[in-house]
Amino acid sequence: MSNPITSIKLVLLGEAAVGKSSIVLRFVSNDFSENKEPTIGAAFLTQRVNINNNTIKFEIWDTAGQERFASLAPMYYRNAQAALVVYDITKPQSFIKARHWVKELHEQASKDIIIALVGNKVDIIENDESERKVAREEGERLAEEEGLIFFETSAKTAENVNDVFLNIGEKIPLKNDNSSPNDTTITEDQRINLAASANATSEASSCSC
Amino acid sequence: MNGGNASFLRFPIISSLPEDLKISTIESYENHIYIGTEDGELIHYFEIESKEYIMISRIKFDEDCDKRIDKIILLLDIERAIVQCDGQIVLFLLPEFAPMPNTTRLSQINDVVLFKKNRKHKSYRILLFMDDCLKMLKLKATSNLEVTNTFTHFRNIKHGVPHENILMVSKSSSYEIINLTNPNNTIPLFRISEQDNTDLEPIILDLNGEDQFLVCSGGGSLEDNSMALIVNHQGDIVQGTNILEHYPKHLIVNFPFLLVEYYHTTEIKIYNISDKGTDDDNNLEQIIQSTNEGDLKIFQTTNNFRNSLINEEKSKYIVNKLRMAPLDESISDSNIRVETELRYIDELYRNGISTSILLNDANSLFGLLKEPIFTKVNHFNESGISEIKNYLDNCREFQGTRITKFDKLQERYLILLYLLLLLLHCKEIDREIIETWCTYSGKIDINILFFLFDMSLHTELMVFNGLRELTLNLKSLKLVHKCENENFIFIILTIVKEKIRKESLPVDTIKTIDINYFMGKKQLEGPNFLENFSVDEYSDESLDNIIKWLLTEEANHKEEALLKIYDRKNMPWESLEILRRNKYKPETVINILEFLKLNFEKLLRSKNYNKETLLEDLVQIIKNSPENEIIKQCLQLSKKGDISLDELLSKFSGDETHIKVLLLEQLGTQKTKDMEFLTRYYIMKLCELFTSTTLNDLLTSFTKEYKDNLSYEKIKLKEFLCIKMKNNLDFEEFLEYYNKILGQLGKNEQQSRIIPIINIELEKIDKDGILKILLYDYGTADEELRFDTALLYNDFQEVEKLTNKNNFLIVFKKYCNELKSIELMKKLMGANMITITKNREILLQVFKEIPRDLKLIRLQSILLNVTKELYLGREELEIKKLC
Repeated sequence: MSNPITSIKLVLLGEAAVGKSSIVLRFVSNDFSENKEPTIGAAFLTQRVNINNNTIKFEIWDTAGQERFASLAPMYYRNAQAALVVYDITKPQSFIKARHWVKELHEQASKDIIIALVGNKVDIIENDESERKVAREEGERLAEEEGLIFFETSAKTAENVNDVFLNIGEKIPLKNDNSSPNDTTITEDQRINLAASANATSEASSCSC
Repeated sequence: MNGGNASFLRFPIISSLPEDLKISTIESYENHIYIGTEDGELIHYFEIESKEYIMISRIKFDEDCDKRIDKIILLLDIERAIVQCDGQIVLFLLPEFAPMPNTTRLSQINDVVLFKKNRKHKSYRILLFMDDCLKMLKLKATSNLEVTNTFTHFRNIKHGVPHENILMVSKSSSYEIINLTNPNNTIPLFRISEQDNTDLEPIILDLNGEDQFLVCSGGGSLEDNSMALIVNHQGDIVQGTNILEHYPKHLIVNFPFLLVEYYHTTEIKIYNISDKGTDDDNNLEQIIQSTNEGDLKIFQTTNNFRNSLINEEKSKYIVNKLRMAPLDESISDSNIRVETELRYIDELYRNGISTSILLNDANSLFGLLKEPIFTKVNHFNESGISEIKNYLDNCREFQGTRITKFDKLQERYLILLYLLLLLLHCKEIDREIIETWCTYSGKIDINILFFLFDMSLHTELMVFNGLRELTLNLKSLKLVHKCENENFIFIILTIVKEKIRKESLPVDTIKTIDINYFMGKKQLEGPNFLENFSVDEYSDESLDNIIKWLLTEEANHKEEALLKIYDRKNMPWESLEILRRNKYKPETVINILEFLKLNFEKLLRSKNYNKETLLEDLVQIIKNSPENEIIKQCLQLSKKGDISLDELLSKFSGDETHIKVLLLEQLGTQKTKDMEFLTRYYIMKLCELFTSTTLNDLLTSFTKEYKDNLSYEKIKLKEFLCIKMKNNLDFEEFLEYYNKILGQLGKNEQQSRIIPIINIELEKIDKDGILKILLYDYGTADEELRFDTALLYNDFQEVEKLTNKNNFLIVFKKYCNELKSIELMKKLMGANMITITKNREILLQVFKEIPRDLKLIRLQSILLNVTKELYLGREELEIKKLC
């Protein structure tokens, strides 16, 4: 029997233009687009990865970073098991915003949520370190204080992008494949035979009304 | 779309849907719109600002599937949605409309419906229709799907709509009604299509959420006529047959309209299904045309969308009809009030008109808004009665919990119109019509009924401006002539009082009912209508008006009625005033006393009543009914009211001495002066009786009888007289005072003060000392006088007590010479043996006095004793000498 697929609802949060959609695009399609249109509302993408012989399906909600859409974010992080809080290492304001998102997630999201703090656009400082406006140590310190996974990434070069997701995947409790006989829950690609799983076959003599 | 009289108007909700969007289903709640498409997409629109929806997500139900989304069911209490597509159902998270990770995806599902919601436990039950069975599943926010029942009898059901355990289903090529609790109770109905080889999509709608379904049955093809049939739980077709031009793709019922989306047309046709039984175009109410020759689609959602475009002219017309206007023609409808009212109604209208029906036309989504239903009835014909009743019973605007204030307003308008038309068109106004008015009393002002019958009102009556003229005209018809008799107004009020809980009525209405009822009783029962006045028939709020009437009008038994009202209203002072008005007559004084006893605490709390007024009442009660029991109760009240005895006594003048006496007798005399007063009163009364009646003679005869009785053993004179008096009714009053005086004399400490008082009176009349004997029993007189009296009345025992050597011979002589009683002589001598034997003179006198004719033998024994005593005395003397 193959191991079941575990789905993870993951939400990306962060200031506008920090590269959230680019990170997702890199992870899902291993692609990069230089002048990407701003996200409207939220984009939904999925990606499966194998981690230690387990398949994890990331259901990714890439939220719009523009302030106008800020009110939508709670809708997406409320039931999320993981969150990527992204900032641009060349924009200190985006790090401040990231701090706010981390705080909000701790206060409003599920208490088990796994949060990764991601400093994006490290490719910019490859040739000119002076472009960096948020020190790596600052990110690391915030991550340590708040119990976050921390990576500096480049969606453009794909640096650390997969690692962020893989690290999250490793921390997510896997779905138990020893489900109870009464449990009709199934995983992706499985199709359930309801008649076989029903525990209360009735000859229509009564109903649980 | 049709012109100005259109039943439905569209207003924009989303104006820029994606070009390629082919909507298959829509659901919505709050500011979320969820769209399912023909090619398996799920789109989430969010109202980011007022009336501005943006698409915030667009995902595929299944990455590898392009099948249509069949259904979206919102489970708001657990923040989930069920999405059905290509025989599968998947749970989605709300509001984000994201697939729920790691949960159920069920397949081979023909249809899924919501069966029941448990608000308390935040759980839902859904029914899954499958080829091999019907399943019931339970959903909770905190747990996964759980199969609770599998009904293997119910196979091959393609679609179904439940009303609790009763379901209308489509199975193979026909419809059936099934009962989940009884598989044998299946009712096979008609076919979906007349021809076997025609595969028409079954259409089943829940018509009213209770007991009616709407199903469609078609002909040989989609182009053929079809029937929209309303079927009850027994499988009966009700409300006639609605013939449709073709077989519909989709239907929405919004009573009284049926909105129909046909295949292969660019129109939505709207039929009026309240026009029963018509099979021509007459019930086609409106046609909505596509703006770009494309498909038009209609959808019904959970959400209600408010109109964003108001037709100002139409609005003015509606608001003016629904505004309230005074019915009294003498009251001018002030501009300020009209303007305020118009503003209020306008606000209700703008906020209250909404729709759950959406129209997809080209790249836009519209709300499809029904014209306010009350505007459909713009005539006063008799047919309006059934028309309105139909609307009231079936329109969603007036059912359920989501109705708006505007809906309530137009419902009230229709109800009033319905009730007015009932009165206008009925041949006779009977109990049933009045009861119908009562049924709706919670929604209309029942005062309008009273107004129509020209009763006096206690409120300023307002009515919908659109119905004002009708109401006034109806009143001018003198409806009383349509009633059984002239007393029908009273009957109306009786019915109203029976049928309407007074708690549900405004105070002014209660007053109107009660006062008119009161006056109706007067008219019906005549001048004695207050004789059996029952205060319980009236509300507290009305009693002041009734009091006012009673105080100003003449009527029999009005004081009794007032007393009942005052009692109910806890107005003891006013009750007392009425009781006092009866001038403290002896026959009514007891009522006052009883009233004071019952209301003592309340009265003393009232500002009008105090110690002085209580004293006055008590004095009046006592004066008018100077009886012991009443005085006793009055004294108890005076004590409670902290009134001293002196205060009370001071209220009684000289000629009311007897009352003072009664008071003192009740309380007992604490002061010497009171005791002297009482004694003086008693002895005077005693003497008065003694002198003014025959008692003196009777006592004289009693004493003679006693005197004549020469038995030495007879009882004492006082005892004798007492027995005689007690056995003679003439002495009843005398004995009363006599005993009271004895009571006073019994108080030893006061004797020295009261005996002189008594004696002063006795000196005047008691010449023979009989009264003294009765009172003192010889007790106060000197011994000589007592002796004389005892001897006079032959009270032998008393005489014996008082006899000595000085008076022995007087007694002896009386016994010998006057009474001539040897027995008495013997008793006397025996009792005074020493006196006789020690006094030679007395002895000689004794022998001398013995009558000559008396045979000494009769005195032998006593003389022998005398002799013996003499001898013994001498012998003793001798012995003494010798010694």
